[in-house]
Amino acid sequence: MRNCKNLALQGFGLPQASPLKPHACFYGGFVEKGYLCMVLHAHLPYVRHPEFSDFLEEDWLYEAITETYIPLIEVFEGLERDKVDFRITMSLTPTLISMLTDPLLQQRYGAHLDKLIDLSNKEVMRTQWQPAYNQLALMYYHRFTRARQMFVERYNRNLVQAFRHFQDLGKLEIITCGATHGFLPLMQHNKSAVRAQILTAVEHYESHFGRKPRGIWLPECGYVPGIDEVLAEAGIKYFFVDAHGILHASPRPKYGVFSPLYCPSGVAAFGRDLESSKQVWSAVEGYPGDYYYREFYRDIGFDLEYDYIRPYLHSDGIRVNTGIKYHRITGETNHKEPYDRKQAMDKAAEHAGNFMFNREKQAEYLSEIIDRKPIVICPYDAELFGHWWFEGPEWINFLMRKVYHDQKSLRLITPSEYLEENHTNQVSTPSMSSWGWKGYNEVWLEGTNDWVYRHLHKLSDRMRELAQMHPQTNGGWQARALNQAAREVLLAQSSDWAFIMKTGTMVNYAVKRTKDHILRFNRLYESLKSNSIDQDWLHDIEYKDNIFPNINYRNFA
Amino acid sequence: MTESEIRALTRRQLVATAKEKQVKNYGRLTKDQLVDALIAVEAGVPPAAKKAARPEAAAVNIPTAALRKEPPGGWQERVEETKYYTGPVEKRWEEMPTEIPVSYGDNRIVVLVRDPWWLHAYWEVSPQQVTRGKQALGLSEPVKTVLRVYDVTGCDFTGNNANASFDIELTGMASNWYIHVGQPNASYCVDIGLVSPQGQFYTLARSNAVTTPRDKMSDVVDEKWMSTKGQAEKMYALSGGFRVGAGSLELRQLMEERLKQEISSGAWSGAISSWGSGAVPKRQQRGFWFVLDAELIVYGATDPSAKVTLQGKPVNLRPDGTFTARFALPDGEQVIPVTATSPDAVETRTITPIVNRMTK
Repeated sequence: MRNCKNLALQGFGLPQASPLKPHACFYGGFVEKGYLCMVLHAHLPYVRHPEFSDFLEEDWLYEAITETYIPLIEVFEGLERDKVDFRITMSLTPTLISMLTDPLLQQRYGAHLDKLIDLSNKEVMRTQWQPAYNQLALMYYHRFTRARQMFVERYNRNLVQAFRHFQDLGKLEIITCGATHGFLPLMQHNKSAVRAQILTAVEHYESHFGRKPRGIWLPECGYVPGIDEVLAEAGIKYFFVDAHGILHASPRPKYGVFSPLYCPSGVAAFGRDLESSKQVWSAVEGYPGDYYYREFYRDIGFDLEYDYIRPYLHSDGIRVNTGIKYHRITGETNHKEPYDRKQAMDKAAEHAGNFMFNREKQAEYLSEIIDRKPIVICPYDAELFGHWWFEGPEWINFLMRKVYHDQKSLRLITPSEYLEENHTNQVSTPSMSSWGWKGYNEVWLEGTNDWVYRHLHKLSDRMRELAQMHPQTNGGWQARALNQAAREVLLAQSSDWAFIMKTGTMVNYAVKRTKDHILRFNRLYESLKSNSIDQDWLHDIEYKDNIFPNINYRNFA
Repeated sequence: MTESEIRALTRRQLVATAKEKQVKNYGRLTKDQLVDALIAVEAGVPPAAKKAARPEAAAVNIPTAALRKEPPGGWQERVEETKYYTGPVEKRWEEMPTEIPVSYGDNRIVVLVRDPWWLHAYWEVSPQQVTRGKQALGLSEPVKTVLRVYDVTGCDFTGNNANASFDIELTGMASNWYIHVGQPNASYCVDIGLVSPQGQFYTLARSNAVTTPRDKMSDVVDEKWMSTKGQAEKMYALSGGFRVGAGSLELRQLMEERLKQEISSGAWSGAISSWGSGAVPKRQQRGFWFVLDAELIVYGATDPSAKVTLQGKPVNLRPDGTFTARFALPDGEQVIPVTATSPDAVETRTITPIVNRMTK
């Protein structure tokens, strides 16, 4: 790696939050007005292609690590170091955990990061005569070298252990999700498919965290009455639904979304608060659209001269995002000004204060009109913070510190803690719902993607048949084929493929993945039925689709 | 109504029919759009199911202003989409996998719920079953195939005891269908069958039963967890992010609009986004565009063991003693003294290009 000692490195990385003077707080006897539950859902589908040395779609993971997961861990480290108590609930999906702990992807990410460091270094040199851009190039250089230090030296390339550390400290509650983020409401005709997603996820969680998960983030909050029974069977205590899942529950919920409901099975359902949701999701009315924040769509991968950037693209030479972006949103205009980190940080602090203020007012108002302390659930995709909204992790940082130091009305809490302290809740059946566009199943069931379901259903029907036909095996290739068949079913069921087909981003890849897994499964099925298999082929797909090494095909019966 | 019948209607008749068929924003559509919408309703494809037209590999520079408008799928979906976004150009696959089976040789029909008002059914019918059916009905020519949709709310469905049913005549080689049932919180079962000219029906396959979700507050109240009507409405309004004081009908409409995502930014951006005809390309091109920039490359060569500085800062040499430095070039003058010092530090040479950039 190039020796960069001679450059004056100015620290333009994440600044420390401005030290806030704690108010004179009168603890002992003070009771908060309401609870705030921040939920981050971190998920990516399983994308791992050992058969290629370089694969574009693996970038999804590398970008998320660089822009979201590492910055979030840095925020948590800072809070721990500064002794700021906080609570965040975070889902890490089994596919994401699998990728973060996979040696090949860990090694590839390290190489990716090295290339970014190299590129940012070149950028520092190239922008020497443009002070505004030079500052930013230095900022990125600093960020990437810090990321490398954290990734390689501090956590030995295993970021799951980093998150686990904060769970063990009692600050982060990590919950699970469907094994491959399959959209459960569209698996209803075959309950074994739902069970397989849940049970596989729970077993996988246990192998990484040393205990069973207490809560789950249902993929896309997709809920149908009855799914909670499967959760109860797996020992899960709570899940989340969108607001109308609670509001349209039967019998009618007394406290709207501000208190959970117990399903008849005993599992608790927490509903999303829409007021806090819009403030963060909307790029027009919400924080991320502020003109001082970094513009997502202006990346040097596209702006700079081709031959210069070519070594940092993939082997096919198509321009892609590098993660180095120099401009701020500026306005409703195609002209973009250079990004100013300090101004952006000031904005993030202001927005964190604003968010907290709104939640305080909300809690205070609610506590006056209902006879229990309200809980406000604020769930977001983790990748919103840092990837789409560059300043997002710092906003979380400011928010946690302000909530801790600057106010008394709100208490940060996890759903587990809430249920321990408030175990009398209304029993009611939430309504079928999702948090996708239009609130039900349409996103995953429309003209571009409805074709997949006859195949996915056939796969889960056949898998159930295989699992029931083979309650035991004598080892040998049958056991391997059965487990591999189970893997192919799960991989085909990722709701990401249907989502991508609908939104149109990388459709070819999503279609290819769906078809690949359907074909592989069907061939495994035929092999098991005819009791003969091509060993080389089996070995090859075990190598390529190697998720969930300890998968248990009997969960599919 | 057949397609030709629809096309024969006057605009006034189209509007009236569209209103009756609950086509969204029927008042704002052009005659052609009304025709398309009605054909879609007849074909069992809800307007929103139309595929979004994908633009060809887009241009390199994205007009970012257009991206700041609320997308048809809402902001949350746009953000989630960016997880999978690496750039506007998608890679072409050299070899796509061989085709998956068109059918599995089954004889069955499966129904899925899409939302409170729509179902989706797909099926496979075996030729033997069709033959059996035709024989049972005593027919030899091609027969009408229909979907018979049964409302089985509250029933233990045996085949004859549905609350109500309606038929959808299938056209062409359809193997799936979007069924508009229009009833939240109701249960349905669907047969695919043959119908004789006399109206006799033969079931080729029967589906699973499904229940549509509620689209409003439940009427069931638990005595132990009761509140006044006003209180319930207040809770609903606050939970939905709506203004307190709205009556239950207004709240219900607001929630329905929110679920159908018409009020998020208050913008009606044309009839298109509200029923997602898919005619709008994902990223709107801003029309013809052109950007230009110029950079400076300074390059040279010296003894591989020499030391070189450029404007006082050291420059790395390649093993062969050559070097290249590349600079973004702002307006103004750049004085660029480049000094090479011999390996034994005895001799130095300096060359100073001066570059001036102006933008007219």
